[in-house]
Amino acid sequence: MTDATTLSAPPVPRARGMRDLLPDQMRAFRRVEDAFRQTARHWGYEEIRTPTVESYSLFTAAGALSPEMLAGAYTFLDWDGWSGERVMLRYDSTIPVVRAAIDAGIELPARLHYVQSVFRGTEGEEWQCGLEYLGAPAVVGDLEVAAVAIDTFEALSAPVELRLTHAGVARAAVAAAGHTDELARRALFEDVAGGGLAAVQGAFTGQPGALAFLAAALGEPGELAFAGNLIALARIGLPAAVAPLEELREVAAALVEGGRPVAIDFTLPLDFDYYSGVTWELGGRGGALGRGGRYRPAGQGAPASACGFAIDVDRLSVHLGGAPRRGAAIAIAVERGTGLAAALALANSLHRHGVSAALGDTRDALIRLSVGPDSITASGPDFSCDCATLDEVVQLVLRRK
Amino acid sequence: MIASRESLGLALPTGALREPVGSLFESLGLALTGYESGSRLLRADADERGFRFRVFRERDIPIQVALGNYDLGICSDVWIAELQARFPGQRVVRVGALPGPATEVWLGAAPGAGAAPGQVPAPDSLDGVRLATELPNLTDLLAARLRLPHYALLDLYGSVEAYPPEDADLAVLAVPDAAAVEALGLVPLHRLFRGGVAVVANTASLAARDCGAVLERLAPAFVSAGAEITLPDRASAAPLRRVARTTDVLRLALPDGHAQRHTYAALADAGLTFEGYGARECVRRPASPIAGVEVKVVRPQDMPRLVAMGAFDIAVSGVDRLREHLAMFPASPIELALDLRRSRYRIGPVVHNDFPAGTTQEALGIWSRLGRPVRIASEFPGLAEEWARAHRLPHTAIIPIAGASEAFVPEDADILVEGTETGTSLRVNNLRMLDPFLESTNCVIAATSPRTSRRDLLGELLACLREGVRAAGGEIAGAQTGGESA
Repeated sequence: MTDATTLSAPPVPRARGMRDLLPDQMRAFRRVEDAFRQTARHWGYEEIRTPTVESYSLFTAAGALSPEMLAGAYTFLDWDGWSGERVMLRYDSTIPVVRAAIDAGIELPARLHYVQSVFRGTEGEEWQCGLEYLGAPAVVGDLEVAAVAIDTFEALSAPVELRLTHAGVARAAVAAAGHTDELARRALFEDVAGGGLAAVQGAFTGQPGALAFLAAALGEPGELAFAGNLIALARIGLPAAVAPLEELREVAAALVEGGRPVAIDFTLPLDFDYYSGVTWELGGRGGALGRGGRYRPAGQGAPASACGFAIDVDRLSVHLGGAPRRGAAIAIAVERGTGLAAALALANSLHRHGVSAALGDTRDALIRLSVGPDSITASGPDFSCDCATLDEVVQLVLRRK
Repeated sequence: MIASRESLGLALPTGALREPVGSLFESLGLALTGYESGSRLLRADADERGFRFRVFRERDIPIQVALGNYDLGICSDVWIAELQARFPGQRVVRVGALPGPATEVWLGAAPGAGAAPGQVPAPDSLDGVRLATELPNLTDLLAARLRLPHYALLDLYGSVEAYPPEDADLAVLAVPDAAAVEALGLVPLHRLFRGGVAVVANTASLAARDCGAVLERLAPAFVSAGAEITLPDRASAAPLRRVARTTDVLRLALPDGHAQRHTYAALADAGLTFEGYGARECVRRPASPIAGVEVKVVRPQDMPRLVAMGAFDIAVSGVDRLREHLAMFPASPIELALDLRRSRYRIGPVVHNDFPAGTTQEALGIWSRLGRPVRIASEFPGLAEEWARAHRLPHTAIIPIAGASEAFVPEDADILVEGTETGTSLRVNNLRMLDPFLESTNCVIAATSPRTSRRDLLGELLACLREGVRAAGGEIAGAQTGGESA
């Protein structure tokens, strides 16, 4: 019965939306991850990892996910879910990192980075490299976080374009739209978060000053001067947007002066409702490769403000490609019954010298060692010789490798 | 899957829509033998026109069509909306509306909650709100729109109107109109959905199969009724007043539906009569002759969870429902307090009469060599999964269903995990049970740590019921709980 079951068991497919990261992809993944970790460390960010499963209420209470996002979340009843308590696969890392920092009482300001995956209905599992600067001061924090993102791309020698917007401008436009009802205001902000400032245009019919500002803002992305022009128009058409625009200009100017070119673009969606300040997208040849910005963390004991970003590792690593394949450089052939212990000692000895070696055959071997009862034969494409001691073998390998 | 089938599959509704849909089909020249009102037939093979049909509970129909098991289906719009609210990418399209009763989905509150008709309460008063519903997906959509920070969703089998205000703060319920919400004793706050009866099609069927023979007959009957979700865009400033359960009473849940007459008889044997709870008729809140005992009538399927949550201290449900709950939530703090020894029936794997195995053991050999997942349909998905695990079936797909289960085997499921009392329905549908694995009776379930401070009443009540079982000639089974020692 058991055998029949095993033999005829149908192949079980991968769960929908889930991907294997095979050796080629993992090499590319590690390349991105290593560059990110090193950059984050240079800037003083410590690593954190949060659980894959969180309480569903964590995400609803944060008020950061739109109804459409919540509809695309993996939710299910908890293990002891008779009370209806639901849990959710991590949809986003920012909210759990903030929760973890509050839970653990981590002192502010806190610089935390992570490499972990998020789970979203249509996309499935996506890996992200990201960081959160909790309690980040205005402008200075924005600048630092954007610089870490750009430096990561520089470490990868990958060209990147930073496109900046400011959630405060969208919030100012929504507030000026005149909705007194909280639900109506939220609905409009969700539209703006999902589709950019264009979603709010219809609310300003008969207000030429505001329409002029929006028309300009929704034009082609611009450089630093664009921010100045928008400030001029906002003074007449949308005064509440002036302060956010000035903040945006200050951050953009510092980045440009530091040799990091930026574009100012108000067609960008905000993506998450929690953004409150300068917000940006990292664009490269693979399209949008990451997003970040200033946000208002939710929860009792949360800092008043924070900045963060996340890079889409899957997309970036596909775009970049990985390092060449690196299997074991040395293959140690050994017969069962004789020389097993000697082969193991030989492998260990090579490992201690930083040489990769494996027992049996390997596809990538540069040198093959054959362990006999009295000696070890080393052979390569253009040589073959016998060695009497382990030390002799190691020296030969080090010379030849 | 669809391309390999020659006959055109129709998923048709049971229940209240069966008669009007049957009559409509007849008037359109599409009469289906066996789908007449009163028939217990749930499935028919292809007729001379190449139409085959299966009868389902309405909520299963859009799912079956989306899965591609049927090309076309007919059901209330509300079930299409419920599916698409959670799974917008499902391959199902609403082709047209048929004449039929309208269904609206309303958010309602108890009159004492302080909410005015037509007004959603202030969102900031809804943190931690308890929402009772049979429509969890539409309710989640509403909660997301209201940005409810924390909420408890009571996903119920029915009797939703019974829950506010003690056991839920708000109810989301399907009714004909706002007047029906009021007739159920609730205040209609917001209409979340309106629709009628619709024809749904699998998108792949529409694209690649010839469904014309049915569609051209149905099309003249189409009406212009739409189906629309309306999420609230305004809220009032008035907060929602909420009621928490009191612990100075013992709360008892009694079942409605099929289990009601058995429960009534068991109570009568114990000398217990609750005014408003008869063999057939009942009100939601029967009057208790015992001071300090508060009674409510709800669906037996919902009882284990309600007792586990502490909403009720004790409930009369079934062993099947208790075991299903414990299969889902093994650490749930409830237990069998007393077996009432009535309403006896067996649960086991059910197969088609043509299935070439006489026992579960023989069947396992066949199922494990299918080369694909073994599909198990059941109204008891927890028990079905437990059974599959116990028999080491290597790859299964559990299909939770709402009812009319006999229609699923063999085309849409390999096994049905189902209960039968006399076997009549199985025989009519050419099915048979292999080895039953559970005998279910009605029973009293209780919280392992009841919230009530009146443990004395719990003990008294159980003692009465126990005497009733003895008087009826039954053996006593169940945990010696319920405050007897208190």
